[in-house]
Amino acid sequence: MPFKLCWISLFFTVLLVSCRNNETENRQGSNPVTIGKPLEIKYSTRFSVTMYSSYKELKVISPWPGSMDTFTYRLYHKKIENPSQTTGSIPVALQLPVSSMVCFSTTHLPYLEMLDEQDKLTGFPTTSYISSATFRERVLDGKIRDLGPSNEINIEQIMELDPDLVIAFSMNNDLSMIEKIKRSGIPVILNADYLEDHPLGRAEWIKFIAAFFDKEKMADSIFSEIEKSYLETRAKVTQVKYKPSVLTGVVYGDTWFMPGGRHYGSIFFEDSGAAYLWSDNSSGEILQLSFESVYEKAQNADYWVGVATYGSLKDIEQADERYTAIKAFQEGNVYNYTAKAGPAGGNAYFEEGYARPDIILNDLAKIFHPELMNEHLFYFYKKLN
Amino acid sequence: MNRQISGLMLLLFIILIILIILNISLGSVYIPFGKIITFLSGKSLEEKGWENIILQFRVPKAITAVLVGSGLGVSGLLMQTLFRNPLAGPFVLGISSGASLGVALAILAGMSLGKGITQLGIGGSWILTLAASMGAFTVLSVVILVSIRIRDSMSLLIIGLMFGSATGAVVSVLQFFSKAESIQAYLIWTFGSLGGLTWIELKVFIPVILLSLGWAVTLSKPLNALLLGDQYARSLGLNIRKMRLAIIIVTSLLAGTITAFCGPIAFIGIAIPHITRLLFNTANHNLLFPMVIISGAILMLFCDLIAQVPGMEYTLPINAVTSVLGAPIVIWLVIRRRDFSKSFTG
Repeated sequence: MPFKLCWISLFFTVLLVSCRNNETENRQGSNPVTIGKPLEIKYSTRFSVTMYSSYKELKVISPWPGSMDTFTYRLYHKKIENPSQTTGSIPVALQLPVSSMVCFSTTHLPYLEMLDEQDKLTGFPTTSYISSATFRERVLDGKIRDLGPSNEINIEQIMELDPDLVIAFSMNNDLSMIEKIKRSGIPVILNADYLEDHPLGRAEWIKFIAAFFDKEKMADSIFSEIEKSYLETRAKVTQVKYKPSVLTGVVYGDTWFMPGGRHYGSIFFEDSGAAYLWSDNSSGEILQLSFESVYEKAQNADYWVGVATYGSLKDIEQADERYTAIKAFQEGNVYNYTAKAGPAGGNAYFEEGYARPDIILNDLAKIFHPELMNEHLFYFYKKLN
Repeated sequence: MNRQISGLMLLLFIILIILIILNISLGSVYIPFGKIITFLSGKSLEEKGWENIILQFRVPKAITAVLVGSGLGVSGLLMQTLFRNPLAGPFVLGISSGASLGVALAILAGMSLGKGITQLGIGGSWILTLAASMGAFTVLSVVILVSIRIRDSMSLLIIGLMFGSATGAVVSVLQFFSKAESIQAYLIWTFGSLGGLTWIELKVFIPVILLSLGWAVTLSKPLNALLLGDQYARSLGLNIRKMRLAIIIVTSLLAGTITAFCGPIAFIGIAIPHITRLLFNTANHNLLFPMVIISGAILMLFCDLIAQVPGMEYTLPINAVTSVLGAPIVIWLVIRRRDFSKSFTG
């Protein structure tokens, strides 16, 4: 099975690469004079920003799981006559500067705040999920409109707001809602930050958002700081020989959802000086395991980090007494990312955490190697009692 | 009881025992068969981890599978006889719909409010159990009230179906307004789960199911009379209304408890009574009850064995296996036995 998967993914990769090559050739063929200057992207594999003399070109690559599409957007400074709304071969055209926007995911919000563009957000679905204090205040002041539940966004409200831009995301190839918004003349741009495999790849999306505000330089320096801090912590903790073993997740029904060895979650553990018990696994997806196989492998785990919404050891024990057989539970080494869980169901870990992998890494490093991280105070994580 | 039937009974019983041992032996984690037998014969193992896996994971799951299969089979049989309808099953009175509504309210509405499950933990099995029981109990109370007032069993069947549709619609509306994560948590519940019961839950589950099964068996004689029609049963001096109430309560206890603890397990309840009737060529409840109990347990154990995908770390949802496996078995039996309708009326 994994062998077969390998072949399938190899096939898709080859296909993807060849598609992208064709695209470059076509563009160069039709427009040989313009040579764009691409922005340096170090970790992200899902977007590119290229500066041309008269416009910027943003590309978003496979924005949902299994997608092989590339979406192209062109941002112009000069007045454009016919802003096009078509996807596919003709790119979506957009007029800069952007003075108002609607975002669909909390993960898009921290970039706006870091770029000091928080006043540009005018609408959001289910605003109660926002945990940032800045945005919460703006919601209370009525400056950010609630657009209804995220799976059935109120399109009439968006049309009334008439933002310059909507930044959306899609979990699958059903783009019907996005098409509906586009038909009303509002440009929609897809974001794929949640699919990045590397933690720094997610944070790098600040460069994508910055393109709409001509703040590429600012984004670059903010990202460099985050990268520097991340790499420093990584260098500090990964040189330690002792690597405590760690497991994550809980069982839902009969299935324990566990990040594969190449998943974002696994990279975090590796970079924070821990030995993730499923790091040998070659999957970048979430594995669906049986409880007994997790128990077999993880009964002697030193740490258990990330336990869904459980708030205490007692909650965990009440949910399923078999959890108590895990060594990390017995020794009280259970941590969860709920220190900044908002009152209305939001959690800063799923918002600010995307943009600040350095803080997450510092938290994790403090869990596994407290002696090296004395000066750091827990931010997203807390120890469960 | 003729020799052929007692031979078949013995065979099924042996299959049951083999399947129980297989179910405990095979799983995601490989444990040598010899070790399993050593442990089951009362000796302890050097590998404490394996001991724990057998004792805390596999034995409770095997017990759950046996009770779920038997319980759903018996409640399906009760409903098919009560309504004299081959399409009836344990959930025909809206019990699983009621349970689903309870769980949907707990997960979906609870999450939207930011309270409930989110704070208490999604895996909080007792909360889901309680929510499901309350949902099932509410629907059940209404059905019982209606059944006291209405004489006709068929009307009751239609009312049960209507309940199902209505609660299904409410669940859809709830899903429509929920976050993707909560919808997923709800969907996972609807997949069914046999592995969620630990010894603590089994302390409640085992006695309730065993007592209900015992009660059901005492109804054999009146059920046989009922098969020949309400008029005939009345002429034998049976109090039809009282009996109907007893059947409904037993079914609800079985199906309600199972759904509350394991989620809505599909198909077994409808398939097992048919399989048993066709295998034994009888409609006599004295014989059907023990056989439904054994074959239900066998089919459930077998489905669970497949769901575990022995040797792999991965698992399949139990409901996918019951339907995919159960449907062909019934189709095959029905085609093989052309006089299917006769097997039903006896």
